[in-house]
Amino acid sequence: MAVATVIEEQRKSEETALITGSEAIAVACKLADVDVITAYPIRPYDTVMQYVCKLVANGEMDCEYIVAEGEHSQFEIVKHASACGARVFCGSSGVGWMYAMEALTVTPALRIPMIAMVGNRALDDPGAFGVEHNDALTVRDLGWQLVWVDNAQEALDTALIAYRVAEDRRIFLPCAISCDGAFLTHSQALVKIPSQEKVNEFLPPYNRGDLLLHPDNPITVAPQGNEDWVMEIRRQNYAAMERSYGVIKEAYADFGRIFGRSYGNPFFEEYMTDDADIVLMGMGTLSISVKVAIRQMRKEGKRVGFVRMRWFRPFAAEELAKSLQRFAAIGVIDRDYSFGSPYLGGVLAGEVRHALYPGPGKKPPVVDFICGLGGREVTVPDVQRMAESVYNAAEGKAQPLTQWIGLRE
Amino acid sequence: MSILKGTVSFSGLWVYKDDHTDVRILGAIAKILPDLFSLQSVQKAIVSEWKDELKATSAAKSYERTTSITVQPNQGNPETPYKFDLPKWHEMGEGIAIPSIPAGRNMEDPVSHAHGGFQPDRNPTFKKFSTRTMRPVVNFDTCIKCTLCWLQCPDSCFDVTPEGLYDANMQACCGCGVCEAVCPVKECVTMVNETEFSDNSSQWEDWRKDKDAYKTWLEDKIKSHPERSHGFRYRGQYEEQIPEMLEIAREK
Repeated sequence: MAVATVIEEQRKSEETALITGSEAIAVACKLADVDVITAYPIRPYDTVMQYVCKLVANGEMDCEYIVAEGEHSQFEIVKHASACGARVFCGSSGVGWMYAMEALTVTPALRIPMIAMVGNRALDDPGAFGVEHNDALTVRDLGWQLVWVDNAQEALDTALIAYRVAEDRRIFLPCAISCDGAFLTHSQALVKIPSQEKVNEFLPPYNRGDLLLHPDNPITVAPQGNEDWVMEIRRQNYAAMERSYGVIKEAYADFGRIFGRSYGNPFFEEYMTDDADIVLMGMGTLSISVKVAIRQMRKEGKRVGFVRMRWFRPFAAEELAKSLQRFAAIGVIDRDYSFGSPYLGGVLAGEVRHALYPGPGKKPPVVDFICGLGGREVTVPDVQRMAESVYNAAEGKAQPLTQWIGLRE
Repeated sequence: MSILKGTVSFSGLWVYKDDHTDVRILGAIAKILPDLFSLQSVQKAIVSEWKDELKATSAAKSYERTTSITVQPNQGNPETPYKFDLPKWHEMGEGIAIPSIPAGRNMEDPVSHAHGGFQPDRNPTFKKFSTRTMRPVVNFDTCIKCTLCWLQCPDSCFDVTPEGLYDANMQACCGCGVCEAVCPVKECVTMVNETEFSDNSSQWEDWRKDKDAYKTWLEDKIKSHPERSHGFRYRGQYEEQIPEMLEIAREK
């Protein structure tokens, strides 16, 4: 067979590889032909940068790879590169993400479609390498799109979708893809890697249009504003987020059509909810323990379902409320904390209760479970305990609104 | 349980990839789980990935040398492993602040009952000795009291005896081996595999009670059991050892 034909076959074919969540995202960057990537070491996200620089060194990827002197610079560099028309990728974890905070706030405000991977890690202090969701959640109000994935295939696919959505001129908002530290960043799974051809069909090149920083396009970006201007500028971001629901749906539909892998409802995954009495909710890799526990509980005749949020921003409140109203009670698993919040609950529970409150339908009781902080496992017995409490709530027995599961007390 | 005997990697950390641990494990897995993959496919993969026939040979050797025994539940070491009782959230101090270790006390000579020296109090809950794989044995007769072992010990494990000797406290020692490396006197401090010992008794007290018996015990420990579990006795030992290891691997 001629060499050209072999190469052509390879470009069209899909290979399967045993790779970690981090490596899956690095592969997505390669397929997306990212132009500028900045790195700074902090575990557990930095494995993605290790894989990226290997691809660059091997000549498999052509991009500017810059190691910055800190996360603040790291995120500033790619922000500016994106303003100049480069497709960019960045990332961090835990307090590294915090160190970049000034850059993180201005990125969505300037409508920079940066894709970042957050390797969710507990915030210092006391400092732990294990997973907590608070790091990514700190930007939840600022205009970042936030999505949680729970396996390496989803990480790769979502990275490609994120570029498509973020760089859509109707959106132009950054997107952070959260991968649970260690549990997803460092665990390997079989991943189908799509062909470059299909990716090219799905993902158009990044076109910054009239916002491009270039001598031929004389503009000034980010002058200081005041009370005459700020509200209107904020309202534009509001509109972009409003539009993003539709753009996300379009992107997933196209993804399913081109790659033959459909995720159904993009915003959240439903597991065994069709006939469920109660549901549990959560984000990230705790889904694995939950699904195992649910299958066990089903054998005992307990019809429990699970709703896994993918997109946290934009939050598909109406769709979620419509789904949740079918159930007698809801248990939200928060791998995060929000000290001093209403009922001292976690972040996700707050969002879920908020989603339910304005709608016209039923408002099932919502019990919040704080679990799995600092990388502590969410175990199958933990999940069974949670389901028991939610069943009690469904039967009208008062349950503490916020419960800490797996805690030494 | 499958066992593959071999030289351990530096400090147990597998820093040097050229010691063939990776391919030896592959060879062992091929022996234990032949349904997963064969030795031939392992060797083929090795040669195609690293272009190194010697690595393929190492895999084959490990395949031959791996032995397996069946272990029943509850078979084996009957000792209860050391358990930490972790405190409840309300039993812990606030502010992620750890109280410092209280000072210490004099030591008492078991024979003369003289008091002196200094034995620091040690952390009552966190016992690093539970993961020790080797421990120092000290020759108190040849010690020149240079103080280097006491100074350099990263965990301040050395108790100062009333006569100014240094007794490695086995409650605190985690077996890093720095003391042996810095001691200037030959065979004054020697790291010996932890399996040779069954308690944390004080070597100095044993020496004080019966110097001859201690000397015999010490010489026995050093002579027949010189193997460190990890690390090196002196600088340059790795450079000396690796050609020997490669020679052994090359032997047909």
